[in-house]
Amino acid sequence: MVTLTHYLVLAAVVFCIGLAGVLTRRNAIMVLVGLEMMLNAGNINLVAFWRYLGSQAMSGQMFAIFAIAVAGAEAAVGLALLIAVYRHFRNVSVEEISSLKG
Amino acid sequence: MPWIVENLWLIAFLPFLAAGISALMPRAQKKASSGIVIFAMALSLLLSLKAGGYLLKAGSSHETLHLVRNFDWLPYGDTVIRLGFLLDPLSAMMLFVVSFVSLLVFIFSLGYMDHDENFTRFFTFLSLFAGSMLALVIANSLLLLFMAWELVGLSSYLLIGFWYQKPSAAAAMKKAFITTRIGDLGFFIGLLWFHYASGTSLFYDQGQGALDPTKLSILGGSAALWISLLVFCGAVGKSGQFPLHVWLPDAMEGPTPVSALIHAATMVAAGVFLVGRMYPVFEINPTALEVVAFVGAFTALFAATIAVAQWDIKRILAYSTVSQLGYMMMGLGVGGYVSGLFHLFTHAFFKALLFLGSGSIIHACHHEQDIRKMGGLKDRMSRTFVCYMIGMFALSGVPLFAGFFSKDEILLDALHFHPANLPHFASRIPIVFGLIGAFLTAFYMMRQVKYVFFGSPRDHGAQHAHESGSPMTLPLIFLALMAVATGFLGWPGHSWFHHFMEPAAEAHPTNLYLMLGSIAIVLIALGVSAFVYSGEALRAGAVDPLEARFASLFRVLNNKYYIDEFYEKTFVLFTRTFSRIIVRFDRYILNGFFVWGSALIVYGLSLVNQLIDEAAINRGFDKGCRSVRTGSQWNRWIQNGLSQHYLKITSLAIVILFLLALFIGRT
Amino acid sequence: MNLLALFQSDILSSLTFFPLVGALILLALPKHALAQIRMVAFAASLAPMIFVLRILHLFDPGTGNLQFPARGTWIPALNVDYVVGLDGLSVAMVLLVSIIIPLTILGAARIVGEPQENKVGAKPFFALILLEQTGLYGAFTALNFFHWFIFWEASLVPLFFLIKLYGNEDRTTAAYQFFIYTFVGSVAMLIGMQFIYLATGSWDFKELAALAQTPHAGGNETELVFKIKAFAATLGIPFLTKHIVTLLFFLVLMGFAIKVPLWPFHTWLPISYTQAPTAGSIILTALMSKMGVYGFLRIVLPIFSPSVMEYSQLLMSLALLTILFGALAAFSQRDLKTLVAYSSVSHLGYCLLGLFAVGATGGSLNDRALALNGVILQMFAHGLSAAGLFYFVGLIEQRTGTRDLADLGGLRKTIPVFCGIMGIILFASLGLPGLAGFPAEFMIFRGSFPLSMILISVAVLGLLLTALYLLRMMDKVFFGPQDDKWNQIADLSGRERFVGGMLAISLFVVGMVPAPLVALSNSTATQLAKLFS
Repeated sequence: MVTLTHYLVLAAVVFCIGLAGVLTRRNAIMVLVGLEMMLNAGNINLVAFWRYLGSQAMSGQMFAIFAIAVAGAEAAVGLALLIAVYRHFRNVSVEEISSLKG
Repeated sequence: MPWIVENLWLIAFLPFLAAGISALMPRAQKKASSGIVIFAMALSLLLSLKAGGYLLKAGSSHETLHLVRNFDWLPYGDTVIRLGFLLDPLSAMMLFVVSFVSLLVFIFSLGYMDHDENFTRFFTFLSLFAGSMLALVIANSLLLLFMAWELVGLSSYLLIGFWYQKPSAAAAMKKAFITTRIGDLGFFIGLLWFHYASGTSLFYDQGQGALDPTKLSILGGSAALWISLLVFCGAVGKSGQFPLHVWLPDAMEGPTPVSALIHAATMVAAGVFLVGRMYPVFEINPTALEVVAFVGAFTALFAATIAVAQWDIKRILAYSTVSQLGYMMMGLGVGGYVSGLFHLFTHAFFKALLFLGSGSIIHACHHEQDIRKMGGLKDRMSRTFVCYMIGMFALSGVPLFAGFFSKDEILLDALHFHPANLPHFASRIPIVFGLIGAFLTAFYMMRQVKYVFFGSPRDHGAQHAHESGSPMTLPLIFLALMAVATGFLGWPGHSWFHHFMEPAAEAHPTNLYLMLGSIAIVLIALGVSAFVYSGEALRAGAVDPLEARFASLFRVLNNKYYIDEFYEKTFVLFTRTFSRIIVRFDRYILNGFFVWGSALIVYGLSLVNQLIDEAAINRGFDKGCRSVRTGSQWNRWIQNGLSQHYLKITSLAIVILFLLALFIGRT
Repeated sequence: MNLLALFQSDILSSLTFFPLVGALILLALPKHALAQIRMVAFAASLAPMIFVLRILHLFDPGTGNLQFPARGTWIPALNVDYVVGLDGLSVAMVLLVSIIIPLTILGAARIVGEPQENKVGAKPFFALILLEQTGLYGAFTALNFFHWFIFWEASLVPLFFLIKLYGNEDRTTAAYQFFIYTFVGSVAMLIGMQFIYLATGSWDFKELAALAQTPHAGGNETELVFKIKAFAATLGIPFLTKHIVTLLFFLVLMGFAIKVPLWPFHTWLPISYTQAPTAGSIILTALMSKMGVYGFLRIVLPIFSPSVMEYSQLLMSLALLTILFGALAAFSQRDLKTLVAYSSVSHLGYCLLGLFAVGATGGSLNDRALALNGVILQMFAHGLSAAGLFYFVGLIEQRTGTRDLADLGGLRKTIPVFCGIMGIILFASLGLPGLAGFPAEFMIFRGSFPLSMILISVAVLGLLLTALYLLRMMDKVFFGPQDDKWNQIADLSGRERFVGGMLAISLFVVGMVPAPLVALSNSTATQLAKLFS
């Protein structure tokens, strides 16, 4: 029997993998992939809670769908930014691009 | 209103129109341009003749003597400045003179200016001149007269400087304009005063004009004197009277037809005309006319002495013009209204003749103007010679030539000059000066003629001279006829001219002794001069006999009494220095001392303020700021621009918070 | 009335703000589209002419009162209204602005210190001129001090930048001196007017003028003087209480005296006029200086008439010095532009002379009316002729690269048409009959003559001095032998011929038939003259 806890653990694991990816990878694309994983971990949680807490409303599902749409948009914007950054610096390594610092 | 009075303005307008059209034509359109100008002038002459003819027929009551056509020009307040055109004997006489001489000079210019690259421009300016001069003559308002007066000055300026590339011409044009403008200042003030005092701008206006007897009586004696003298200033400038005569000889830098038309026959007579036009005002206070008489008499003699010692053929004529204008002024001043104007009338023709004759000579001698380099032209240019001799006899006052009649009338009036407020000897000055002037006139004219036409050629220019073409000689012949004929209009005792100009007044009876005396003076002068300037004196390189005998006097005369130099050293220098002082004053005192001074004060104050700011306020504030800055130094490592680094910190913080919540929240 | 609704319905407001809209459109154009920029600028500056023609058509010369009035509440707390209107004093000026600015823009094609080569570019140049046009229209139509003062100052700003960005070698000094000097005058005037506001509670020119003419009950002072004195008394400073009216008069006078300028406040002028680009010089001399004279007519004469009468001899003497010293200073200049600048000083002296003569005793109402009409006509005539002179001097500089009289000479040979048209404008400036300067000068002199015979007789000397320096200039530039290096310079192009020809024709028409222009101002001038009889 798969319980809510399993899903939550799975989501936590996925989230941690994503976070690790975000924090450690140098390639910005990989960072972006990590971000997507973190978002999807959240989606798993949303759907899981909806399913197990037995709500009649569709709110959990709707949230997830929204999150996916937003993630899509965010990925598009992120990638566009990346391309712009690449054009500017000829590089997508996040450590090289540090012009945000004060 | 008769047609000709209604349309009197056309006489002045046609030449203006022609000038306008000709101004817009390209340079190459020589024929069309000169054709239009001459055609317009011929029409003006016809209209002038018609105007004169109408006046002759109309009779002699006062209303018909001053036919006017007035119009509103400038309304202001609850009144209006009116201008108008006037047909009376004076304007009819001047109309004829101006348009007749102009037409002949225009025709002469066809030949004289043929090779000039600015031929069309020349005719434009000539036509502009003729238009303004005609407008001046028919103006029925001192304001309109002044406007035309200034335009005449402008055209004279343009024409004197026609060969503007010669520095002497450029200087002469400026000098002419400025010198006449000095006189015009007086004229302008007189105009303001006259307009203010009489309350109308018109001369004649059905009994309401400023010169109509009813209005004239409201002018006070002293106002009338001031107005007359101020207006006379303008006449002094324009008619080259002493002390403003200096521009007229220099004006000979212009092409010779210009000298003939403007600076001998018509424009320079405008001053005399002006005095004639304002004569009723001059008559109110006798002092005014006395001033005119003395200025005129002095100028007549003074200029004649200078003419004796000149070498330039045109300058001799120029000084002779100044002198003759002096005669006219003197005539007007001694009370001879008609005689002054009659001399103006005859002089216009024979002086134009002399100038055009000199133009013909200069043209033939390849633009040589020095009479020492001429000689022997009598046979080479016989037609010019004959005409020139007629002009010379007329000017000298040889009996039966025009100048004889007119000059004699002036002398006659001078003889009857006995104003009550002057001592006897003073009232004799005009007649004495006039007679001496007559002697000198005959003398220098004979000198000139001997140098130019007699002896043998002294330079190659004169050697190769030949008679000018018919556009140039025909006008000479016409003018020569006039130089003889016009005199008879003023036959002593039965003067048609006198009757035309002033039907009401009686002329002085002829004085036979005076007439015989002046004839004798003229004949003696001619004889002496012919004797002195003969044989040896006419050889090439010979010294003028006068110069040989009276060297220092001759030098003074030759240098025109050093008046130009005197003006240069006084008025010109003063203006120049004063102007420099003003500029320095502006730059160093007003702008330097005051403006930049106050700017410096403000700047100094701001410096003080800055010091106070830095010493008192900024020091404490700076200390506080510095500690904040050092305090924030350690914060800098957090912000290194790496987003992952930020995320790391964030996640670390979340973990810590989570742990805290886990442990602390539990208890 | 709602301000926005007012703007839409009121012809004067539309007139005023039209060029501003043009300037905004201009800013939206691409930077290098020079031809379009110039065309839009020209169209925007010319378009107000349509309004002006309509105004002239509707204008009733028979009444001296305000016409086309419009009023809207603006800042109620300060009693500031938006008030516009037009009368005989301003209608000629509005017409002048509408003639000069389009011609300036049209002529500025190549005379502006080459804006296309200047790194700032041509766009701001034309936008600034349009901005200036709005400022000028505003200043000539506003009738409330507050509202008027904004335009008065606003017209300074574009000129400051025109000089600073596009001027000649010394432009920075010139721009600052120009701005600060005239600003000092404005501040003085502002202080004076604020005092009057505090005393009367009104900014409105017409209300103040009415107060200045109402006698105070039970005294021989006017209502205005009474209120000012009463307010000054509350401050408790004895000196102020005693001399407050004189003090206020001179404070307000300062502002205009500097702007016109009146000797000895003229020293900012030669340097600014010389250093400004040609278009700037044209606007400065043809229009800005007229704002000063207009201010005298609109504010000083109606509101301070007793003080004008009291100090008329002093002020006339200063005006006389302006005429004579300006002309004398022009006589020994070598720089063409400085020469023309000083000639402007001298010519504006005639306006001031006529203005102040009105306060002198003697003479009749008609004389005063004639002098005031002459002042307005002189403003118009000088606007045209001075604009023309600066334009042609700019063309000479652009062709030869020099403004030094000693370098030039004999140019008439290569550029005869240039010489001809410039000659006409120059003689108009000299006061030759038949051109606009003469009737104006005659009217001023004739009107003032009975009021002060001796001063006027001396002032006539100015006519001689004018001839001296202008003919000297003509002589040095066009006559005499020509240097070979000027053999190749070009005569007027079609566009330049048009601009110069338009100016010359306007001068000619106004000179021959001044009556229609004078008719516009006559009723108002007569009304104003009545205050002094």
